[in-house]
Amino acid sequence: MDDPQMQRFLESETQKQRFQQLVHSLTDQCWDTCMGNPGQKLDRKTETCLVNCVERFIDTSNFVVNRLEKEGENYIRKESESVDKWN
Amino acid sequence: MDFSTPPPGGKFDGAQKGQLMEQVKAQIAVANAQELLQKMSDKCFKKCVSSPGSSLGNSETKCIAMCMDRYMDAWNVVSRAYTQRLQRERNK
Repeated sequence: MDDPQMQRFLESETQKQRFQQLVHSLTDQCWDTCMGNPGQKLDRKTETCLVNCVERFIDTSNFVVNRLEKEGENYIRKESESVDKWN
Repeated sequence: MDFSTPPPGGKFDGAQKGQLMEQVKAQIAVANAQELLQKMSDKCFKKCVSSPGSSLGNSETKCIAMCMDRYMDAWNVVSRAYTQRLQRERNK
C-alpha cells in the first residue's frame, strides 16, 4: 500500500480497533470479578471495582513487561550457560 | 461496489477511496457489535439462566434484559477508565 492517505487511515483504524478489543477483553474479565446479580442500575461499589480492575490490570501488564525487560538479560545469560554445560 | 478490478495505474480515485474507507469502517463496526453480542449472551446466560427449563421464563427474560443494560454500563465504565489511564500514561 503506497497510498499515504490510505496508510494513515488504516493505521488509525487499526489503533482504534486495538483499543476496542482491549475494552471488550477488560469488560469480560472485570465483569466476572466485580458483578454480582445485575440490578436496576450499576451501583457505586461495582463501578469502583470496575475502575480498580482496569487500573490494576494495566499495572500488572506494565509490571510484567518491566520485570521481563530488567531480568530478560539474566534469563538469556542463564539459558546460554546451561546450554554450554550440555555441550 | 467492485474492488476486484484493479483501477488503471493500480490507484483508486478519490470516490473509490472514500467508498473503501466507509466499507472498512462498516466492517469494523459489525465485528465490534458481534463481539459485544456474543459476550453479552455468554455473561447474561450464566447470570440469569442457572437451570434451563423448557422455555425462558418471565423472570429469566427480565434478568437478561437488566443484565444486558448493566453489561453496556460496565463496558462504558471500562472504556472511560482505560481512556483516562492512557491519557495519564501519555502525560507522564
